Amino acid sequence: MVKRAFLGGFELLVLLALIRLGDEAYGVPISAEIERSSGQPVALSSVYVALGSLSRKGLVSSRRGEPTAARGGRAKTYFSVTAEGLSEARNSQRTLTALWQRLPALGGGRA
Amino acid sequence: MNVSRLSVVALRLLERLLGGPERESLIGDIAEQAAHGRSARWVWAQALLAIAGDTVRQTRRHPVASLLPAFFFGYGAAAILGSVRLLPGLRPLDQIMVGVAAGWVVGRSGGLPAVATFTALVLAMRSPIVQVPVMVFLDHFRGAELLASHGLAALPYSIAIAVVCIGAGGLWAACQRPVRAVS
Repeated sequence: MVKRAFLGGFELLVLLALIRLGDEAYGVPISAEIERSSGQPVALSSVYVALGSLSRKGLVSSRRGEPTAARGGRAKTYFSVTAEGLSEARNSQRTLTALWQRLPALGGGRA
Repeated sequence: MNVSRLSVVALRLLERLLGGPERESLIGDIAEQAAHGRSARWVWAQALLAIAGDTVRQTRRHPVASLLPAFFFGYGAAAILGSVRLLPGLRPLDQIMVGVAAGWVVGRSGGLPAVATFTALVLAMRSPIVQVPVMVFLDHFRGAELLASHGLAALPYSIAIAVVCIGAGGLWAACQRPVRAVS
């Protein structure tokens, strides 16, 4: 039986933000996208931890950009979603949608 | 746009203390945001979260290698501040620990060049020409008495041990320092 690791909640957010942003995504726009969607502040370091984890799973790829003066001579790392990453996002969507549809209505704001 | 001095200090701290393959990109992102007008508070929060997260990850990956230096650092700092009273027979051990702690801190924060500088400073402290004015200067501050009597004054008595320990601490830190990965 093939064992597939599920994505963590924050990893999924990062993966979805990356899909929305396209190929020229790096840490700052990714965290800004998640902040816009969730309304919560995001630590840049946690975005990079998630990106590292996604990269090790083969779901995102990265390439180094050119160093710029605005960044104190440091290069950006651009990330993009791989075919496996897109497939994993679809799997997560299917799983979440199926689970969500089987939930009773969440009315009243109380469990 | 100008970056505030407080933000610059946070970025310097990150450069010294942050490891991991994402180091350069992460510091660059924070520097870019600081240049675009993010507050020093935001920069400090990002820096401290990054350092804390990196420390926790390193400790989980290499618990012994991470906790031992922390122990030495804590013990060394306590010994320097005079809050640890050692048995007379343990004085050499005290100096070894202070030496290792100093070596780790210097090596971790500045690498081998800093270790060489610190070693030269310790050696220079052995010379009365340097030692006397430093002690006279420190005597002006009541708070510096403990530091002078427990820290700086202790090191010159065992220069050989301190130099070896500082060198070992520096080498250890240099080996632990992750390679800047280019993905």
